[in-house]
Amino acid sequence: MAGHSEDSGFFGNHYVKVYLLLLVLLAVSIAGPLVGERIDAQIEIFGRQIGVGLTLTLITAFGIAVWKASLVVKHFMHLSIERPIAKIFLAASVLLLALFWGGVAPDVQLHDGRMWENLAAKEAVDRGLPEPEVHAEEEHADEVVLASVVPTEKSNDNLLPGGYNFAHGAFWTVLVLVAVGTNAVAIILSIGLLILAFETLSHIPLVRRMLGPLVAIVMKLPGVGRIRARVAGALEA
Amino acid sequence: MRPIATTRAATGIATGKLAVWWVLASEVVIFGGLLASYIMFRLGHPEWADAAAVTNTTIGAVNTFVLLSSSLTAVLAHQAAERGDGRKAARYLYFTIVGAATFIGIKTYEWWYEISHGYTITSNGFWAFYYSAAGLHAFHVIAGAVIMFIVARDAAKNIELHRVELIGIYWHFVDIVWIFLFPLLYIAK
Repeated sequence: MAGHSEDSGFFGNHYVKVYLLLLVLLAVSIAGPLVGERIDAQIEIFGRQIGVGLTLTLITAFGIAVWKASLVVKHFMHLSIERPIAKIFLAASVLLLALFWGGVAPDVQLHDGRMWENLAAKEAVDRGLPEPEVHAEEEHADEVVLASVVPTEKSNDNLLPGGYNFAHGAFWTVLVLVAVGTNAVAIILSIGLLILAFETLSHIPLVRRMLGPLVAIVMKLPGVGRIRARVAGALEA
Repeated sequence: MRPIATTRAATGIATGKLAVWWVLASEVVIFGGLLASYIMFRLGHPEWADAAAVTNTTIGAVNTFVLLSSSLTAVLAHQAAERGDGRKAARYLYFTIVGAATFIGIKTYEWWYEISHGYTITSNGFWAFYYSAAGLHAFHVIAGAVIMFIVARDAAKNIELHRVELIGIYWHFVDIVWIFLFPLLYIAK
């Protein structure tokens, strides 16, 4: 909030200015793709043909979404002037997310890898696409697909990046990491909330009387007195 | 005596605010994982373009406008709370709740239209992601509006004004999620 306190009327307010900029960016993110889908031109960059319309769509739709989000984070959430620990929390989450994405992407985004192919996904694409000729070379038509992803051949190549075992190993590792990570956050948060709830409830005389004997038992547990003294010291400090 | 969350700041941030950032960090993984999965599947399934073409860009744009506007009122509530003007902060929070109700009202109409035309969560992968992501987001909007109402009631009496900032931070995050959902579900046809 520091530096944003001075304002001269509604439109002079810093936050209103940021809001108006967000609205302009919203308009551009809608107009850009509409223009983009009407452009057929292609340009060559590093020997690859890149569609001008598609590039315009990606930049205006997703590039501007990133810009809008960064404006909200900086000016409305004030993350830029927040203590480092908040940034560390968020950075850790984004890192975990990147790990998840990186580990799973080779298995999900592609339908063919080194020594494996995802028959179910390919069939889903074939079913959905309008061209009927895609179905012409169906050699698996009479086969019953028992697994959606099947290894094409047993080989040590399966252990390399892009291989069937590698992709699945990475997937399950990331899945476990995400599961443990998100549950750890929930468990720690729940403990914090329980402490707060007890702390708040203990101000009610009736609850205090009811909880009294229980608290007395907990206080006699080894180490509890020491922790309590430390917390009290931190609170006074 | 006030709750520990408002009186202790072992890390330099009041514990309550730290908890909000913590919640948001877990939300980054939850929504981020969902959106990352959607992007991965979308890139692998060109046939989803047919389903994506059905979503109504105008409705999505109007809802983006509504959420951006509600973010403005949320931050103006924070500004008023910092100046000690609880009544003004509460008034801005009530505007934000109106924004949330408008968003949910539009979303209800949109879903009613789509479901009545046969596009349900089981229609195909695109619709499964569409209803899951937008539904989870809508749930966050409703939860935020309820908490905001409780905070606004106290703020009007100049009680616990710091909570106005806490619910504001959460609300801006909900806004950011929609900023990414909008191009993914409504623009990238």
